[in-house]
Amino acid sequence: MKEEERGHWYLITGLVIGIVLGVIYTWVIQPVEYIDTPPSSLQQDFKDRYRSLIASAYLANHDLIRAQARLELLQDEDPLRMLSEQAQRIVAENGSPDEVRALGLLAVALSQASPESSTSTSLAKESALAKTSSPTGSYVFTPAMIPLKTFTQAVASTTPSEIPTVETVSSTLILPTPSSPSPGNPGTPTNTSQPAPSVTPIASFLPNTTPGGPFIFQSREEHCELSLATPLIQVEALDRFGTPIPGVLVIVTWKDGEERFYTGLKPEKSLGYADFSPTPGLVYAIRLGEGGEVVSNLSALQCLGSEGESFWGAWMLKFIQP
Amino acid sequence: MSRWIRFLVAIAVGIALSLVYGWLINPVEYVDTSPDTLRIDYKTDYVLMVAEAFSKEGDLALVAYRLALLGDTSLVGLTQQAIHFAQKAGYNQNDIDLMQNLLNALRILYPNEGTPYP
Repeated sequence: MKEEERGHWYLITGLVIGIVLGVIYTWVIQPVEYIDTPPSSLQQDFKDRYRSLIASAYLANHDLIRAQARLELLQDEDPLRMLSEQAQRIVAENGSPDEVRALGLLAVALSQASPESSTSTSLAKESALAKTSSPTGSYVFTPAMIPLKTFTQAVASTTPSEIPTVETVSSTLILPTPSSPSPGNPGTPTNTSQPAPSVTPIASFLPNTTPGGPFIFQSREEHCELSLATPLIQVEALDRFGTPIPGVLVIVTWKDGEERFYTGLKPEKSLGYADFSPTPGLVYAIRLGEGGEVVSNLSALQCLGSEGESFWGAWMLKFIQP
Repeated sequence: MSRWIRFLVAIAVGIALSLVYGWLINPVEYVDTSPDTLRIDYKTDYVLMVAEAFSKEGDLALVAYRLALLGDTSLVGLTQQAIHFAQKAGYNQNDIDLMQNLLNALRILYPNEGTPYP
């Protein structure tokens, strides 16, 4: 057969063979190996465990900026909502109360941090300015104060955009804590002056779950305007000034059971808020904390509409810690 | 150009096209990976988180549960590796101390695991 008669099909054949060879190389000879991945690529259940660990570490070090930076590694659209949802999911699955508490407290801390960041930033700037004058002594910034400066040197080495810098993260907890000098630590920024004496300790930022006496019952209100699909019992824990308190243990008991959860898992409603859905027909008792005043004879609230139709409503119980 | 040369060029173009597609147009996306594939710096931070939590909780069973997520390496070896990386990367001494405390606790639990990291 002459060349003109055979045409140019051989070129297409060669192209197809080349593509096949390329695919064989990438899929069989040198297939993709998942190594050196970032936390954002983790499977959802692993992300949940990672998030729980961030919260547990936060409870240990009280370093909100570090916790925020770690949460950003997961690249959740709304880290606060993810924390709250995970906490609620664990409650629903009767999971570890400690895990719920850690997630809840971190969610609360994050929600409190946002609106205050501007004030706190100026505080941090003031204290930073105050550090420049006194020549006496020196101290070392703890990780709580310099978010990931040394800690992320390595982490940020190849993906700097994933770790927020000091400037981009809320500076709420950039509060100096003096410690002994550490000249042999090259990765730790040092300063050559005294810390500002008026700085608020980090602990004051955290929800305090055990001050004062036991919670006492303050009020019970019916809410029939909600037209709920299921009945609801809502609880709000307040201090004596009426400020919502997160992280308060709510104990709900009924004839054959008990459920425990914490306030503050729905920070969008109130930091002292918690709720649960009672089963119609059962009678419940609620108290806040082990020694709190018990409110008993609670059951699902049934409301009546203007035309006689019935629908579920919500009880709102308020407790105060004197 | 002879037919064979043109044929080989066509094969090369096909290979190039498939590589361009695989690497540029539709590159691999890392989704649903497991923690054992995390990069060493992220693994180190994970171990640091475990150490931080352990400093408050003191629960070695929980430590083992959490570290096991990072793969089948021995827990002692994993922590040693994290400390080694942290030292090289200039982590804060407090963080290294926390991991060292965790390592000491793990060595009691698993006395035969791990070897000194070079």
